[in-house]
Amino acid sequence: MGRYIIRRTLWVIVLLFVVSAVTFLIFYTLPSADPAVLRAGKQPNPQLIEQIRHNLGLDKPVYVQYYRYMKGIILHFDFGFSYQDSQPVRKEIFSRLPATISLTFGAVVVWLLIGLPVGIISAIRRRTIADRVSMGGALLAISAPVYWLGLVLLYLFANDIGLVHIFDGAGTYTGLTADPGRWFGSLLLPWFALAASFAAFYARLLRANLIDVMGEDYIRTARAKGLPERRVIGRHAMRSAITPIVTVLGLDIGILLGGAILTETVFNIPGVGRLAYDGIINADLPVIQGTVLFGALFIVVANFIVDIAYAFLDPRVRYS
Amino acid sequence: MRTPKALSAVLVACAVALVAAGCGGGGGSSTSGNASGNASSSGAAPQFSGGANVAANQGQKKGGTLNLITNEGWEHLDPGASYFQIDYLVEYAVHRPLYSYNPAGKVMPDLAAGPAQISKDGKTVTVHIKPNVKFSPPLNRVVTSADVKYAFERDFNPNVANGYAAGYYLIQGAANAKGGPISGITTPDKTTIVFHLTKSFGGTFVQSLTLPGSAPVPKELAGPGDKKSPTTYDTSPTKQAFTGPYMIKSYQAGRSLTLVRNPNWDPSTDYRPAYADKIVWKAGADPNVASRQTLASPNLLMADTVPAPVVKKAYQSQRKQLSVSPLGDYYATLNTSVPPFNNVNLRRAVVAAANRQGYLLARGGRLVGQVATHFIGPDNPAFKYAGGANGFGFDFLKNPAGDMTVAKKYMKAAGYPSGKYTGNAKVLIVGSNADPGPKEMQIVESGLQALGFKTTIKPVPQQTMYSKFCGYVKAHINVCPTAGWIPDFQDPYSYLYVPFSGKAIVPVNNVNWAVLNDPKINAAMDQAASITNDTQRLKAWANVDKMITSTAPAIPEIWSSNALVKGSSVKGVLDVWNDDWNLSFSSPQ
Repeated sequence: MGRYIIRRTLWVIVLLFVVSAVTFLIFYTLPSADPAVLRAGKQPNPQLIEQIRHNLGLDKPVYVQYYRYMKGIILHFDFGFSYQDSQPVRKEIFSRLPATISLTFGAVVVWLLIGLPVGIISAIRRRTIADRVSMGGALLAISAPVYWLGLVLLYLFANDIGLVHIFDGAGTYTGLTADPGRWFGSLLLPWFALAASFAAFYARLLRANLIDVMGEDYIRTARAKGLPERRVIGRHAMRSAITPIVTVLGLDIGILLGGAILTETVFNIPGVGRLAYDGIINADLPVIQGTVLFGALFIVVANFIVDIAYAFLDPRVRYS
Repeated sequence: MRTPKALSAVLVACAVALVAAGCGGGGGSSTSGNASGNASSSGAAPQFSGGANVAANQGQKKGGTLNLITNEGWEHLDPGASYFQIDYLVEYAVHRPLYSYNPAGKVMPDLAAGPAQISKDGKTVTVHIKPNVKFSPPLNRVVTSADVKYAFERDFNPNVANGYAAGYYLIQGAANAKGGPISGITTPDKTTIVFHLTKSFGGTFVQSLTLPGSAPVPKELAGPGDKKSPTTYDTSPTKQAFTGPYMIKSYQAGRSLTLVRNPNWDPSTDYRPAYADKIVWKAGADPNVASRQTLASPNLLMADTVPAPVVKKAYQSQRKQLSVSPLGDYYATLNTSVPPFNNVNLRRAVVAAANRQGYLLARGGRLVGQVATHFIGPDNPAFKYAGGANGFGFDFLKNPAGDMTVAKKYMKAAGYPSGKYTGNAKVLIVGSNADPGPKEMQIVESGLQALGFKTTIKPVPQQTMYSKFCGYVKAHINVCPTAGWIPDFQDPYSYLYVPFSGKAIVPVNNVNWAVLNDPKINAAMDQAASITNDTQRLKAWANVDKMITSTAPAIPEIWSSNALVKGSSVKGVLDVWNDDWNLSFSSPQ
């Protein structure tokens, strides 16, 4: 197990290096616009552009630029400064992480609380009205883009522009430590908007897995031994059926921690996703690069954790 | 050109795309206008009835918190680096340049004690500053001319990266300055600063002193940070020294900003009333949501672009909360330096064939502007001298829907007797792939094909369009139909010089996309810029506009308008020159 973890850790490092090299090449050596011009702001004169090119080291060979870039990241965790507003990218990402983490884990709780029971009920009440309504609803939820769903929720339920004034609207996000009550209230609509499609997907996935597992011999054996149905499902069937869910969940969390761009944009939640969106819109290369690397880091680490967890959940997994 | 707030995300360098808000040609009969009835300095903007009262005097009261919301965040709150429409709202509330515009667009002495003194040759400008303006805590000292001198020095510091200093501050010794002393700036005493210019430019230079780059900066505070790239005076705006009625208390880039009163601000030295005690601004909002929140709220000002559906809704049912006023122009450039459009009559034919009404519809209809007949727009005081909305009467611009008869006349004059282009040149049209760029490319292509041109359309990302196509002279792009311009200040110099002067052409990041380099026009621009009398200078620039329009380097598409919305009871005051709210005049009550 120890050797497996070490080997996987080394692969994580290699993968992050590859990601950093690819993003560096894309954003600095094959850019759609000259980074020096972007940094120089609007209407710069040629002398200013050249001076900034020199300051940024863009007049150096590519390998020197990459070396400096990686040196900054590894030694100082320095992702440079935003071309748009001159703020340090690292500071911007870290200051926005709490909002993204709040949004992600709250949504995870919501979609698991909705998706798992619905999936189980649909599987064990297969072809009943409950199953058909659940799966029909799941199809709708999967089909609804989060951006659209977010706007609909706001126009229906937000306490400023909604038809019925129930929930806090967009732009009300407050930090957990500043005011836990407002934090919770401001995130309710975003959690539901973000969780809707995930809950639907998880319900469908669990239903399918559970139906497969319920046909296995060991389930028939468990029933033949006279175990109560609740125990058959809870202890034997679910353990096997939920394993793929854990895999997907880990990756989904990793992706969302890299930024739930659309949800954060609609609800004006100052998270990493909104930062990435602004970076893309403004061709702010250091911000794009920083958020991409952070996103990659979260996904790789989440994948790593999932692999480890997988082994515990399913003893058939081998580490060789 | 400063970047407008609208879609600034996809705008860089100098070509701009403005508001895509509008009503699809429906709605009211008006085109654009200052709805307050508060005459802009151009005096030419038509009004639509029943719009929001955005005049300077609405019976405001002191006190309370003014709330703002935007989609976009701030770029640079350093007075030396600031060059963005919504940044200016903050800059003019917390800093005092030598001069600034009041809401009606009149130049007012701000830090300056009175009008600038311009020497007879127009090459020396002397400004006396008020002796009793103090910096905010913790500096707490009186502003001197040395602080203004340092502000200009740092405008040329690459770490500050000012976007306009090289174009407007034509001061002796500035061209090679990199943040150090500039020989052409002297301070004979603590309240006097003298600018020695490289050419006769005094009248125009004084106008450019309204930009935030002339606001004082204490060297002892900013100097150490100015040695870093980027300067920490920009990255930490709460640590600046303020001279305006407000100070930046808190700042989260792209998210929130809070202004509070500057205890060292003396209202007897200022024309600003500074009604609100506190100003809270939240950025990052979805524009659809933010504009609806604003319309539903009593005390909220939205300081950036209102999406088309909300403009329509506000126009129909909440007109008292909607303000529409002119800002900048759009045009489609025709490259005058390479065939086929190095032929002036061919260009005139293309302009004549263009359906300029189509451009207006593509941008959103009547509430986003009006069809242009020349290049200086209604937001500029020279507009009335340039024939106003009717323009100069050129036949190739007479029919806004296009006139093939006139077009064929010019085709014949260009050497194509059949009225159709029979040459070998293939016309490359490059534009932004963001809406409405593709529509504008199709409109220009349609006109060109009607004249027999073979065309290729190339939609590209906005940044790429600037850096690798339209702004890159050697790319020789024939037509760039998604160009636009917002002047930096109310002098026509900032409307016409950079986009149409041959002397402003640079190999990369070029803004003169038509690559127009007409010696007569260049000379007329230099002559106009040297005139110190304001009225005569405006008339001279109107004549330059006529010369440019006559040579048809571009199809004038529209003079655009900008729509703003406000809460139901907030007293929002519009800055005509910046076409956005003035925070020192607006009030929550």
